[in-house]
Amino acid sequence: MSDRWSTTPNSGDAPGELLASVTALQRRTRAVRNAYWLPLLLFGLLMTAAAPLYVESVEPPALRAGPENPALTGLGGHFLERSAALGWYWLAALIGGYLLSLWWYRWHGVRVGVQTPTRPYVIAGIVGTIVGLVLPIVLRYLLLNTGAVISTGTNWLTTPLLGISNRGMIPHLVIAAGLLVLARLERSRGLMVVATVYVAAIVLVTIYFQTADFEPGDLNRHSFLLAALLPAPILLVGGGIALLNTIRGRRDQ
Amino acid sequence: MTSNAAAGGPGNGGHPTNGLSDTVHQRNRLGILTIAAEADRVEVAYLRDALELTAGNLSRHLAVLEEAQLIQIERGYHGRRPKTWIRITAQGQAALTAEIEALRELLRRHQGFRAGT
Repeated sequence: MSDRWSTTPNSGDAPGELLASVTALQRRTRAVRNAYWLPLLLFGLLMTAAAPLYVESVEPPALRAGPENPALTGLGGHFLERSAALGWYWLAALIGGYLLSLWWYRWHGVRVGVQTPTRPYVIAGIVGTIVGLVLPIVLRYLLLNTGAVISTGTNWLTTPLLGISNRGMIPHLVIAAGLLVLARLERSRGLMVVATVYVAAIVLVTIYFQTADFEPGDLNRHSFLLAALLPAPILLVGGGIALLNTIRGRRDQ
Repeated sequence: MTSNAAAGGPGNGGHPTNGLSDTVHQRNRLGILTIAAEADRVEVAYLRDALELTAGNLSRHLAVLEEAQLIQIERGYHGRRPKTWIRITAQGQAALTAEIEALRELLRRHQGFRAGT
């Protein structure tokens, strides 16, 4: 079956042929409007650019309660030496990243003539960022200031989430939420695969930190950096492959 | 004109052809709805290229779909260039789903008939 929509009279009356043409049209339209390579590369690069802020100047203690930072720097975690700087960085990077992606989708939609709905993606970014700022406060409250029943009952969720937050990896989850929403909006299996592998990498890092029984000295200057950077190549490779496919598809047209 | 919703569609025991709408079943209009359902908005120029239609022909099909309230037409400008965008309505989405379901049911019956002979 040709990818082009046949307009030859009397050629499309068979249900099988009509359905095949419909499927070909759907596939073609999706390929034209898919533009997820940019958010993948953008957030991969923003993650990589944050690397220096995850490096400690000396070996960190196994658990360090950092100084009290402003609430707006909550995305920067609590264990890191440069938590405040990292918090400001991620606040700006997430807002900028989502706004740039939004502009990109608008521009791409006008250029190709097929617009992807972006409102749920932007909502995921805004809600994710706000939740990311509030979450550490709520988690600490649940763990430290509630009764034993509540604290113990929610421990299975609050402890790993607080671990993610303390290591400055909440922004990774905000990015994951946006990518999963975007995969659904774009109806893209490719993006769904990349987003799922990316989430799996965050889960693996979290499991490692939750299950490893760290002694003082076990963590070195680069431990938090490696944890935070591990998911970045997934976005960069996924974005790179998607960009190559887009270029190849354009050349084939 | 037969409406998918009003006619006995494949879901309620009638013959699957009852589920086909004259408005939607026409090949080019089915193409327009299929593309519109894939996006938030689609530009008329894209529809013209993808469906290989003339401007006049496409315009007539769009008018039929708009009259049936299956699509909305938005006219505007991008810079100085006039642009016309198509947006599928909830009614259009439902009609397209019913049409595709009816086509699938017809195909199933056709294949069952061929297997039985």
